[in-house]
Amino acid sequence: MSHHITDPRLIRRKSAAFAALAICCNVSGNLALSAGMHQVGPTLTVELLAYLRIIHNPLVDGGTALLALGLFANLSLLSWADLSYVLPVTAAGYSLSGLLGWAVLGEHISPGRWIGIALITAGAILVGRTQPRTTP
Amino acid sequence: MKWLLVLVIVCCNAAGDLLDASGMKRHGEVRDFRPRHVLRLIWELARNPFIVGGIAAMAVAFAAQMSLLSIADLSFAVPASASSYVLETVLAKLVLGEHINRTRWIGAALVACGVLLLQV
Repeated sequence: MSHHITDPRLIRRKSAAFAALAICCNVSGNLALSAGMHQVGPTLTVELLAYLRIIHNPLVDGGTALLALGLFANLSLLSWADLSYVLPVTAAGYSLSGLLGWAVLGEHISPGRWIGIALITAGAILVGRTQPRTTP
Repeated sequence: MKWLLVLVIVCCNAAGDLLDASGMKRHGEVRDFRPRHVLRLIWELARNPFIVGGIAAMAVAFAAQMSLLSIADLSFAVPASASSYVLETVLAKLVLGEHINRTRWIGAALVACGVLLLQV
């Protein structure tokens, strides 16, 4: 009677929004984390716990927070959407980080990599057009 | 040793995704994102054995990935992580009972091929 299950049309939009949130958080989180780790230097990475106590690098902290938010968005998405929907759709993060590396950091992208980015994007869009939930 | 690590990475990632997915389905659709409800949700998830197990499996996969990076090239594990997209789609059908139509199979295969090509 009452609205216990969200309208199928709304589910699509809600799924797209949470997938986008998860992708953006993961890509920016990884970017911040790797930039922060380069600032800190490689010597400390083995002693992770000591590192957590001693160093407070804003990029590492921010990156970790973004990854935690990405995990939360991903888990929320899985509470109503299929795993076989979530995995290919969030793989678009590979394309986004490749494109950001090219546009922002000026990284060179080989022709094979461009094709890879195009295939991943196409796969993510195709799966994104299917009904997010197929189980009762 | 390298192949053992690849096996651990693939299996733990798949187990982690399956556990998270079934734990969240058991929890039910998350609908309320006001701060108080989000905090309660996090508390509930921290006590959900599926979610705790799923995140633990992902942590093991992550540690194995770091070890693999220290003894092999980055490119060594790429075919395995690419094929995970197809493998986990098969498992979602068999274990979680999801209905994978042709569009989803094609999409998962395209993503797997794309991930493979990223290394080229």
